Amino acid sequence: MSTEAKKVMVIGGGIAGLSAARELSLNGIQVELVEKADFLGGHAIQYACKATDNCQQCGACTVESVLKDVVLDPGIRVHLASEVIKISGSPRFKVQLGRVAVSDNDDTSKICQEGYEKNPVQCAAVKGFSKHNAIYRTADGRLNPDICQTADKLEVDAIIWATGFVPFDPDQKSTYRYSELANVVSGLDLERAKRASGSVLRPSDGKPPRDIAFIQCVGSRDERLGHLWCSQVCCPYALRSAMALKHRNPDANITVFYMDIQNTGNNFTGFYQQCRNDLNFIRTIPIDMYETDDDRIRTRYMSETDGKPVDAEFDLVVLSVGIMPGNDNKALADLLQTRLTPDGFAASTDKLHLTATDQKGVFLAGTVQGPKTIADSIAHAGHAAGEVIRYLRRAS
Amino acid sequence: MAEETIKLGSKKQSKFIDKVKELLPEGENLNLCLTCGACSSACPATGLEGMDPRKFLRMAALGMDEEITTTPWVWMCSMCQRCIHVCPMKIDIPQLVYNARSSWPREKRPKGILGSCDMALQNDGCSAMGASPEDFQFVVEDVLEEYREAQPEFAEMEAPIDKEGAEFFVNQNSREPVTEPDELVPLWKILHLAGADWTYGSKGWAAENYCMFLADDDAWKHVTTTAAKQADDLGCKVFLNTE
Repeated sequence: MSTEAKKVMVIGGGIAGLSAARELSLNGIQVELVEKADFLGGHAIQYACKATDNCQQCGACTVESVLKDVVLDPGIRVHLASEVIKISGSPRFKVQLGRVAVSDNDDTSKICQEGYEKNPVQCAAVKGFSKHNAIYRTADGRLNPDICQTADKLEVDAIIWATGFVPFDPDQKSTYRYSELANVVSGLDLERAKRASGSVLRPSDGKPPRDIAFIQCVGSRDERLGHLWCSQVCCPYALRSAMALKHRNPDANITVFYMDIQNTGNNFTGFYQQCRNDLNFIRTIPIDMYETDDDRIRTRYMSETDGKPVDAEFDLVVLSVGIMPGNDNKALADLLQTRLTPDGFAASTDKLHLTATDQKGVFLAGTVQGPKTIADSIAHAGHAAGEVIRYLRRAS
Repeated sequence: MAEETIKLGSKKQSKFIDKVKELLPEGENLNLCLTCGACSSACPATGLEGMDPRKFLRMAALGMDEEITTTPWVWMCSMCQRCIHVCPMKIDIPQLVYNARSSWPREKRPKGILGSCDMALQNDGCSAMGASPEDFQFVVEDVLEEYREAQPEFAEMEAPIDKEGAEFFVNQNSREPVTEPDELVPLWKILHLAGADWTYGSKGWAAENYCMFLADDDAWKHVTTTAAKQADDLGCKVFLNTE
């Protein structure tokens, strides 16, 4: 049966949503891509390339290229700053969209005050993180509703739920004093700053840091917080970032505080060996952060070699925050009439059908279903698109 | 599938950690340790006697009962509970430390703590410095009179003992009445200015409880119930533990 007349809504324009939308479109299915933010690419578009002399396969550049393909694809209609507020009917879903207020008053908008055309690359890097998002904006940098808010009612034959995750809020681990201390940053902060300025600088004085600490498992594997899962991405992203830093600045002295290393993926074992040579690994999680008189961060940990407490000072401390279920998951599960896992991620029907939900015609892609790397999110999205195509063939 | 679980034999059966697990309200969380070391980073006693909380818990889990029950490190723990507070798995390490203490023969426990507990058992004051209810009453009345006269703005201030029906039952560390009586006064002033209806008790007036730190359950219970019973007998609504 033909799927030509079929239409699918993808909720979420991050790497999973983009990948699924593109895959469906390549198979001749019309796509309605609904994204709550005012740019496409989600979290993944905010990450910086982590290459040294060699590509470290972090996946950041693939996000850029999938984003470009989606933007240029006439078979994908994009709805930005938009959200699903009502769904009725089945198997043909009637969907109502609402508009999400987007603030133009944040600090980042200042960069775009001179006009988007004068400085398109930097402006896009801040307001949308990619020049490919520029197409959705007017010359003065505002979102253009004529291009990306053209409908408020949709009718679709299937839905892919791909709304991703939220990064762990480090303020929940109060002893790290994340909001208080300028030079204690999250892994995501580090990526965003690198993406905007091209290098890693200390927030307090804009100078390059020499002594840098990464603290792993911040917010993950934590019964107290109700987050027993491993976020799976923090070891790879922290180690790749650390190695890229070390590559740019061989004098940098980088320490990784960890409990154990999530050593999975192609070539990760070899990569980890290299990390062991270039970085300082300490198998203890530090707790307290203090500011010294000369604007460094002092922390304390137990030495593995002699069992004595050690005071160490760093120019920059990076908290490797994990993947948490999205804040909207409950509301979306209700709208889609499907369910969440006890952890709060979208529930797939079983372990062998990771993209299927209890609701006919509703499928999952990416980290909404649980922690995934960029590569795993793309693969999961491809799987979801395939399942949608099979579903539409069966249905027609 | 086998009907019964296969149990691997071991040369040494650990009794200590199993005993502690039975006492814990949530049962077996001592086995959930991720060995992340957050406890050791946070613990003020890390590194003393070559020990730290992570190592201590590991040794218990590995069944090294003799080492666990003989290291003097358990007496250096201040029971501040920071280790639980920072533990991602909420493991109750102080409970383990407490039980290691109680496995020491009583007479071998640290002299300072032991002497203070024994002193508290001498009379109904339960003071680690041995001050009786009569001694306490004498000091309080003496100091109160002195301040009422010297500071007319506090002429109405009270420091009642065994006042029936008072709202707050307040206890008092022994150090002030015994060695620094003037230090009693600031709290009285605060309570006076706040208009609080409060009282000390004659029995169980002392706030410190060295028998708890000594891990002597019976003596700890005696000290605590003496004060609690006095508060109940006086009909107080709130027990303000100042320690």
